Amino acid sequence: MRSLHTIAFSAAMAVAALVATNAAAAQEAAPQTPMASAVFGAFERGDGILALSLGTSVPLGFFNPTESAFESPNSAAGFSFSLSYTGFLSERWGLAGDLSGDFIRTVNDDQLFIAPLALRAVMAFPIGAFVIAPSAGLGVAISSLGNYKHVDPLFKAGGTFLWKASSDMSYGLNLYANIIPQIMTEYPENTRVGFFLDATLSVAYHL
Amino acid sequence: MNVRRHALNTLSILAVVAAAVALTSCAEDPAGIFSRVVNEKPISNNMTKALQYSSPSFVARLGDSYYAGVGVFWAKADGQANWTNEVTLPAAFGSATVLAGSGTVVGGTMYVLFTDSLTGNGLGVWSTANGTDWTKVAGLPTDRYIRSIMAANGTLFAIAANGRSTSDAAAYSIYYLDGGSFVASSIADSAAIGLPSSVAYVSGSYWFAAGAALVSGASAGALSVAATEPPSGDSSYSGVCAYDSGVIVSTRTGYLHYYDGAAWTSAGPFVNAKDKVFSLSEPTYVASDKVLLVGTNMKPRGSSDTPPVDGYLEFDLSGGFSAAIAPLAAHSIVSDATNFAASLSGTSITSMPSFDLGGGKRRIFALTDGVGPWSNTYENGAWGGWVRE
Repeated sequence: MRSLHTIAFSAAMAVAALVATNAAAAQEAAPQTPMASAVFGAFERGDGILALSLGTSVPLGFFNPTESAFESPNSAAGFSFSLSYTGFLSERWGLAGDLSGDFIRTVNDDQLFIAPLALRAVMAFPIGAFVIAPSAGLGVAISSLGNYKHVDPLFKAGGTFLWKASSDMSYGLNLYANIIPQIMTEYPENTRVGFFLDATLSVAYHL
Repeated sequence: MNVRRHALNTLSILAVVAAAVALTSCAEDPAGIFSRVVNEKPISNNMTKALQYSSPSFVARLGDSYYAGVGVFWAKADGQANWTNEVTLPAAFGSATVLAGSGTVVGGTMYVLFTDSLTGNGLGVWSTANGTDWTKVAGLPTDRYIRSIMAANGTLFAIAANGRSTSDAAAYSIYYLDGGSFVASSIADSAAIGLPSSVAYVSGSYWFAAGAALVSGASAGALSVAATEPPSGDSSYSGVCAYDSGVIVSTRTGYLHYYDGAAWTSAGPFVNAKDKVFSLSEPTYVASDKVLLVGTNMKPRGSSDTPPVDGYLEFDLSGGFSAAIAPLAAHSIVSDATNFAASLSGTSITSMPSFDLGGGKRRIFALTDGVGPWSNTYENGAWGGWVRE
């Protein structure tokens, strides 16, 4: 563990030094470049980001439309992963697709698995080496518990905070809410709207 | 172009996945998924860890304690949270590890069939009135293998085979307890019957489910292969219980047959969601709730025929037994959909003994293959739901 910390600290220091060096070099270079340079945004049309994210999925609760009541989650936070691809349509706007999986434990230690598959619209706000990218989208969620599974619509909204460590790679913090209306037709009293929060860290490759 | 290609690729992948998902069949469970998560209650608070993955063979109640054969002999007194195997066994066993394969209580006395775990040799049937002082019951032959004991109408029966095999090819004998020792009945070394698995008494007759045959008789000593059998020709009998003025017989081919003393009524075969036929275990009729409970078991019917399992089937018999009876999907009489889904759904159940505890309190056990014993208690006017023992 100590060596991990050391590596992480060294990497952070190296990245910080690299950023400082680049900034200093840019400052030093500025007077030597009399010609006005072109301004590049963080992204441009045609850019793509492939991100692998790992973290936790927190069940926030369930809405029971039959009784118009919000019910407690009655389950524990679990594991979450996702593979996302964002294709930029312009410097600011992108379209993202997610393949995700959330594993949540019930009070009896059974496993609720949810696979949210979403298509999102992404808006990117670059701030220096950082990018804030709120997004929202729609999709489907496959839920499975025991021998049963169900496919439901999905609304996904949230944001990604990216730190662009190099031109090829970024690290990110993702916070997304998954809202899943699980509509049961055979047993309508079992209809619920599920609210889940995915908090993940990601490594993103710029393609 | 690149942008368009990326976007199209993304969309294509999602479209394919969504289409695949949409085409997947998703039958709804009566408990739901999110609703089940919300409604689940803990079912393992008083679980005995050592029994979690066990396959109990019997549970009996003597006095204020339950006794069980789960490999060795276990006991649990009322008010205790856990089962213990630190029980008093017959002194004759010494330090040997003995298995308790079969047991029952008749008239305030518990009878248990013990086997030496090392040699596999039978150690006989022993009786106790208090759980600590044991007496060996005499009268059983020494040249036969005692398979099990069972009771009905206050009479204890012992099943003996002429070989170690439990196959239906063996010849079986039925003994009954008369006074203080076993006596041979008229079923002696009979190859016409299979291994008797359960007994019921109703309307003056004993009924045994015995493999491919039913055995009946007006007295414990005068038994014979039943003259009447269900007309369907379905004869893999797995259990029998008393109901109303007759008996309900379950089969390994998914049928329930009811004999009211004059004619047979057959229902089934009962199947799972994929139309695969269940193998039914010994039925239990809980008269106070007018409910019939029948476990589904995974005992292979052939080299390539392992039946599906899904806990137990629950039938509401308040309207009587008919050929059209169907199991309740929500298991709503002694449990509910959420409790069943979180507990016994998907398990193999060999038997479901029930006990009237007096004072309006009763308890049913579910003895499973590999996931231990479970119980469900009725008190204060309601069933509490299945919990792990």
